[in-house]
This record gives sequence, C-alpha cells and structure tokens, in this order.
Amino acid sequence: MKQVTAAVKTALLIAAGTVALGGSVVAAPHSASGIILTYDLNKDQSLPLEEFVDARRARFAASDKNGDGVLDESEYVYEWEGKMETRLAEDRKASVKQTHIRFHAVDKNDDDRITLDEVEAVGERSFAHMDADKDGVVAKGDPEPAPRRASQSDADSVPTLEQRPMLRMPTSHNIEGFVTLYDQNGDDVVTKDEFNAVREAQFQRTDENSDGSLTEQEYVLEFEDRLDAQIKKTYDGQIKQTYVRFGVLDTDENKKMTFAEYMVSGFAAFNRYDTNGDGFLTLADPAPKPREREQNTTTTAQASE
Amino acid sequence: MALRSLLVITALAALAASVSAFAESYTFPAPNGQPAPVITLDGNSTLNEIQRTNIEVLVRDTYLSLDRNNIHGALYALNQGDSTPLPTWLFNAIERCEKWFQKTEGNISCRNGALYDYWRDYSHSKSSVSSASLSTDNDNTGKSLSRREVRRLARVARIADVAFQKNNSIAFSAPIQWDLTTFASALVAERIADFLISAGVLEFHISVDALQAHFSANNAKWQSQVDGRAMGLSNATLAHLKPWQRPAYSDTQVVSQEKGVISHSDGWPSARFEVTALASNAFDAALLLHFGATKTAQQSLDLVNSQPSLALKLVDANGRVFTSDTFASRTAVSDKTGTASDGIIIDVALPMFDIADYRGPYVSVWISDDKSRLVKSLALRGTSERWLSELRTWWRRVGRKEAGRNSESLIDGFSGATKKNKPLHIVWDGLDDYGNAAIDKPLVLHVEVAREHGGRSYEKISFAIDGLAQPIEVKGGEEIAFIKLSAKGASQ
Repeated sequence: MKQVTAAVKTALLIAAGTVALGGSVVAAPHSASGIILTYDLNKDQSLPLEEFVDARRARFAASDKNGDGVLDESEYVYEWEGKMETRLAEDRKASVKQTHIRFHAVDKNDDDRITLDEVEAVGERSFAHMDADKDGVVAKGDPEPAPRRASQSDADSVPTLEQRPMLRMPTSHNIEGFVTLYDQNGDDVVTKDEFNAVREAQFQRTDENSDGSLTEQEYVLEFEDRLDAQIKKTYDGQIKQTYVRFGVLDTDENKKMTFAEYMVSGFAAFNRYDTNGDGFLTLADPAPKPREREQNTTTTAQASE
Repeated sequence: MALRSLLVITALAALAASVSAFAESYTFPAPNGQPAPVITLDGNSTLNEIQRTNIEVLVRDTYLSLDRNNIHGALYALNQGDSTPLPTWLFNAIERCEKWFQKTEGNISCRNGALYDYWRDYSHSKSSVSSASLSTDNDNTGKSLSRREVRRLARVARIADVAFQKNNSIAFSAPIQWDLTTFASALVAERIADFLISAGVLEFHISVDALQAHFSANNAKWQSQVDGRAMGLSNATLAHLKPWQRPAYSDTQVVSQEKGVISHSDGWPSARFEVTALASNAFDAALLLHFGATKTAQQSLDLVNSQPSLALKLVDANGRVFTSDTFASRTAVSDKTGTASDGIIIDVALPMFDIADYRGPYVSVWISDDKSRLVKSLALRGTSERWLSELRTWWRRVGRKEAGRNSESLIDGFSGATKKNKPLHIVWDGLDDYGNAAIDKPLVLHVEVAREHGGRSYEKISFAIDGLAQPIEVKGGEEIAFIKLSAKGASQ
C-alpha cells in the first residue's frame, strides 16, 4: 500500500469534513466492507476512488428510469426500496437459519424439545454474565459485560468482506438492550424475578399447544413473528430516512437530484472509511472512530438468550 | 344424465408394459375446470355405459362436495357449523388428514380454508391492480401481503380443537375452515379406484392432475414416465410436483405471482424440492407430495422411512437427489434382483459416553470415488456450520464449498439435528448425488464423527459393490463403535 504523507492525509480529511453532512445523508453502506462489496465492480477487494465514482455513476443511471439525467424523489426511493428488499430477504433467511441452530443449542439433552428447565439454565448463565458487578441486579449504568468469546475463531485469520446486516433484532447483549427487554416496572433495574418472569411468559407464548415444552417449529415460528415485525419497522424507517436523505442532498431544493448532488453522500462515505487517505478503500484501512449512538447489535440476538 | 364421457381407444404401447399393446382409455369431464381423470384398462376389459355414468356422477360429486363455495356442497355445510352427518368418504378423508396433521405437527393440514381465502383475496387484489396500473394511478397498490398474518391464520387453525363423532359428524372450533382443494383430485382417484375394485375390474390405471394410481389384482407392473424417467408401479399411487414455477395460489379466476407450495405451518410459499411421492393410496400420495415440497429433506425422509407404505424422491434446485430407503426398489421397472440394483446397507454404531455434558455428535457419512471426488452424501447430523467445520475431512472436501453457496446448499437442505448416539442405518440405492448410477466404480465409504467436549474420528473403507457378498465390518476409533457395509440382498 502506497504511503501517504501526513499533510496529504490532513488535506483529504478536511475535504471530507466539508462534504460530510452527518450520518443521515450517507447513502452508501455503513461499513468499509459494505461499500467495497457494493461498488467494487472488478471484485479485487480494493476500491479506488475512480472505480467508486464509476460505479456510483452506473447506479445513478440505472435509477434514472426516465433518463432525464436527474433523479426525482420517486426514482431515488424506488431504487433504494429494491436494494432494501433484497437485503432484508437475505438477512431474514440467515436469521431463521440461525434460529434453528439456536434451538439445538438450547436443547441440551437433544430430545428435540426445549423445556422451561433448559430455558432457565441458559437464562441463569446469561443473567450472571450480564451482572458483571455481581450485585444481583442488572441496572442502567452497570458496567458492560466482557464479550463472551472472540468473534473470530482464528485471531490471525485474514479479515473478509462482509455486508453488515440491515435487519437487526433488539439485543439483550448490552446493558441498555437488556434493561429495555426485561425491566417490567420502569425503574431501569432488572431483578432476577423480573428476568425470569419475562422469560417464562415468553416461553408460554411460544408453547402454542401448552404442553410444557417447545418444538423446533414452535420455537422458530415465534421468532419469525418478531423477526417480521422488525423487518416492517426497519423497512418503514428506511423508507422515511430515504425521503429525508433526498431532501438533504437536493441542496437547491428543486426536487431533482443531479449527479453532483448524488455524489455528496458518496464522497462522504468514501472519505469516512478511507481512513489512511490513500484514495483506495480496502480492508487495510483502520476502522474510523464510531459515531455517537452507533449500536453494535447482531441479527440473531434474541430476548431469550 | 347424458353420457358425455369421452371414449377413447388409444395405442399405449409406449406406456403399458406387462399388459397387451392396446388398452381402453376413458376421460371423464370435471366441473369448473378441475383436473379430469383418465382411466385406462387392460386390453381385455371395458366399462359399460352404466359404469361410465356412475363414475361420471362420482367425479362430479367429489369435486362439488369439496368446493367450499358451493352452497349445496357437504364441505360448505360443515364449515357453516351444520352438524348433518357427512358422506362417509368425506368424513374418512378429513379423519385421515387429521391423523397426518397430528403426526406432522400441523404441516399437513385440511384446516386452512381461512389461509387460502387470504391468498385468494390478496391475489385478486394484485391482479386487479396490475390490470388497472395502466391508468398510472400510483396509490392503488392493492392489498399488501403480510407474512405475519398468514402465519397467524395457520396458527389459529392449528391450535383449534376438533372432535370426531360416531355419526360421521365433526365438532370443531371456529378458526377452522375445512379445505381439501389441494387434495381433491386425489380423492377423485380414490373413489374411482374403490368403485372399479367393487365392480370387479382386475387391472386399471387412473391418471388425474399430478397423480397416477395403478391397481392390479395379480400385482402386474405398470410402466410409467415421470419427468423423463421410466418407473414401474404396482398397486400404488405416484404423485409428482415441481414447485418452482407453480403459482402458490390459483383458482378459476386468478393466479398468484408468488411461486411454490403454501406451507400449512406458516402459510408462506415454499419451493425446496421437486417431489415424487409414492403411497399405497392416492390421498396419502397427495399429502406426502405437499409435505415433501415444503420441509427439509431430513424431515421428509425421517417421516417416510418410518412408514413402510410410503416412498419419496426429492430433487433440489441444483439437481441433487435424495431418496427414501425403498424408493428405488418400489419404482424399479423390472423385478430382477441383483446386488447392484438392490443397493447396499451401511450401519454405523456410535458409542455412548456416560458424562454429564454429553451432546450428540456431528456425523457425516458419504461416498467418494477412489480419487476422493464426492459421489453421494448419505447422512449429515448437525446444523451449525461452526460445528460442521469440526468434521474436518468432510468440511475440507465438501462442507466448505457448500457453506459458501448462496442458495440450496447441501447443509440447508439435507442436514438434520444431532440424535445422541442413535445408530445410523442407511440404505443406498447405488445412485450418485444427481441420480446417476455409480455402481461400477471403485468406491470409498467415509464416516466422520466429531463431538462437543469429545474427540473426532474418521474412517474410510474402500469397497466395490460386487465384492460385498461378505459384509465388511470395521471397528472405528474413539467416536465410532463400528461400521458395517453389506449388500442389500445378502443381509435380508
């Protein structure tokens, strides 16, 4: 990788600063991986600025259905809807697959049934894990628990390109998410009793024939209900956001987005993730500083874990 | 009633095997564009006019009774809460459907009228939108399809109570709307078969929609073509379905854009497999057809292998074939038996470990040629890719590539849950993953087992099918008790 002098880097960062209008206008995916996967047309895992601009231009042309050289609001939103539907469908599939696997992980005795005992055994461990200060409750302001295991099994494995999931379920793996899910009386403190009560209620709701145990089908169908609710929420939120983004990017407010206006968000994203400022987006670029309120959730986190 | 049956004498030389070259064939009209049954008799039999009239009435009666919107029909009355006794054939059909319902956790169901109504209304609104969309009215987007709603409709019907009464009536709670539309042609075939047998017809063949039913009092075989392959059939019904291009919902007025078979458990179209189902009667064949199209291969094969009257063949979108233990022998064109066409049996015993955190091991059994190229995947226990990768030999040669597939990977379609140390009993029909004969090559059987908190064992056994007159038995490593390989004919 070509070395870039500190001066050039600073200059690029300043340039980036002038066009970055905040997180909401970054239309491109919110990760270096995602941007490379989306725009690296020759699939060499490296995205030079020129290739990025070409790819954005092609995408702009494809979105411009009536071919008048500008995007109107409906063209802009329509294009994003299509992208979003594909990605949500992929995320959904992966998430359901993971739910089947989770069923067997909870079913410790391999009898193809999850009993309340098995659910409680998992709950016991996860409560103890979240209660890092060991005071018997999980409360807002408590220290975050240590990550359970390294996310990569091989520490020295090569980082791979990965599109971050668009569909993310409410997580119980951080203090805020945990308290939101399990605090019943609104005091921002989860006691063991509250925790068990919520999990037991969820168990009863999932056990559709009320025979005291969950089959794989019952378990997965219940999760799919919540998953599809989340998909709807994500979809609606994204659509709303896309209209907002159009309004922000359409700086002259003529309801027509030119390619230059379109590229404002593109450059903002590119510059944010090209942290070493060499004009190439690669996985070698160190991750940028997280923005405020950037949530680190996973697709498959479930309240019962 | 005027006799409208079409009497056709057709040369069926290509189809009829062990019967004479000419056979009588009769087509009976069906109401409302429903599939019309065709009856073929052997060369020595004919149907007289009274028999033909009876069959015509029976076909009509079956379809009209099962039409939920026909206010004179038996099913309409039942769904309205009318407790009038049902015709015995219909009562029995619902009762049999409910037995399957219990056995399959609601994955085969005749309770889903409300769900089909939802799909009908949705498809209607979509089709009226697409014809109106020329008027550039963008607001008119039709009814939206809610995956949660179809799942809810399937669920409320699934958990509702049903009681069968002695007098051919059924008590049930409101969310159920009985619907047998999907299985109507199978019930037509069954009622015709019952009629012909009672009329003393010794050999006949009924074909209707995707079903072919064959009866022979002296067990003669009927040779049939299913998707370009010859199959022999004797006293059984064969049903065949390709779900990929099939509309999920269709009736006389509307065809949905969505493709597949609507799953009875979650209300959503599914198109996992092309299915060929074999059963001793048409109704079971039709139900099994539906199940096979919507569930994983493991689930379907487990169900079928535990029921001697059933056999099943599944083909995934990549052309990979999965068959139940008896499918090959029950659809063989000839009765000739030889070790090769009978296939081989593989038994694998797993040791039990008396430890507190014992988990059933991940297991893969596969056959390769002598150059390590995969010939046939026979068993795969365990679903998590994280743990499947612990089956290191299998993972390097097969699993890793499959895990990278975007759709219909072997892992998605074929892997099943771990089953403690339950022994594996596998019948291999000698066909490779894509249904081609692989019997004349030198082959290698591979068995790999890996257990959480435990070890990993891997064994390979070279063999030739002809060389199995004496079974091969191998003691395995720590995680494999023994492996036994025998010719099917020899061991039974």
